[in-house]
Amino acid sequence: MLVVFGFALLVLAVAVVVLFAMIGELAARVPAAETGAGWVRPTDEARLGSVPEVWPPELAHAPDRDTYVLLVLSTVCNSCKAVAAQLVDGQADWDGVGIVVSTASRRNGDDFVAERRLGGFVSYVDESGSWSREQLGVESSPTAVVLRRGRVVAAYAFSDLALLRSEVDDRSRPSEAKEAV
Amino acid sequence: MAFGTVLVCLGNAVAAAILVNAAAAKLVAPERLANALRQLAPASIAGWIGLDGEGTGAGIARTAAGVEAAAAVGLLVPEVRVPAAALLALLGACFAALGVAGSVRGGTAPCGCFGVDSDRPLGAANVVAGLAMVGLAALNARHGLGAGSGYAEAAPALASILSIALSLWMRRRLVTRLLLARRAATPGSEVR
Repeated sequence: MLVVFGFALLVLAVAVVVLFAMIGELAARVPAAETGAGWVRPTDEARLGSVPEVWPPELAHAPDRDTYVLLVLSTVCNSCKAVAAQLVDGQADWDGVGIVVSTASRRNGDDFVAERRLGGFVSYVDESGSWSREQLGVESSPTAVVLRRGRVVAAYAFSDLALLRSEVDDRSRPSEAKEAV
Repeated sequence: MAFGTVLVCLGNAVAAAILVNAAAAKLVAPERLANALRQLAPASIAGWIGLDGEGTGAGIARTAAGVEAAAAVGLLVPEVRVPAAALLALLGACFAALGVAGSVRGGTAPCGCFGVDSDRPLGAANVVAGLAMVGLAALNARHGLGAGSGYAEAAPALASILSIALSLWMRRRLVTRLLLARRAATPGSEVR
């Protein structure tokens, strides 16, 4: 009986191994972009066309800029940590960006900024995410909100900052600008 | 179970797990081993053994996969264990010879021994693996299994567990990537 059981187990194991081999082969043939390596998608999850009524002191300069991008990152989101790393490592020269750290407590937000080496960027710790939710209409993260003279003109869900920056730059060109008002 | 039997059981289970994974990978993606063989085959005999052009050699890789699978299963059945060990020795000798050929001729194509998960060319590692297989075959030839040794019950179960564990370990990067992507990728999935 145990012998039969052993060989039944072996048949199942062989089937699983073949399945894993097929998955591995398929994964190797799928281009990286399709596996989620980098993407940017417009999202309606923001108050497009509105101007926030209240600005935190840290972001008070945002309405004065022609184009400004707010990255809404959460301290409890894994992909936000990857975005923070991309920001520090590859987009440190991006001066038209501010970070809104959505967090349960100020201490967590400050820790996030310090641990992710985001001190060189303009950042605002948004306790309980109330400002980004009430003024920007953003409920999830990471989300990028594009402001033109303080008005929300676009919002993106994204995983790749370089792609996002390229998208924002394209959008900022006068001939291609599309106001969402 | 006597110590010698335990040793044979463990060795054969490990060998069977490796062979099952190697066979599955070659069945799914035979072209990698075929590439490596085409690179190593001398021009004088390449045509004769069916390695004379782009895309050839997949049949050889699939045949090798079949032999590996047969040896793996045979090693786990007490009645055919010794003939299977002879097959194992033959495979080991082939692997070692290919490893020597790879080292001498400086092959650069991934050996494809485990499909997409093997990116090293044929070389010293194949020689070592081949010799280990020959050694295990010799151990099988020398050591008889007594009646009621428990080998027939233990070896297949152990080989099954090791096969799955090895398969997961070989694809650990893919598994990690899929798990992370599942947790972090879709827009709006990370609601605060």
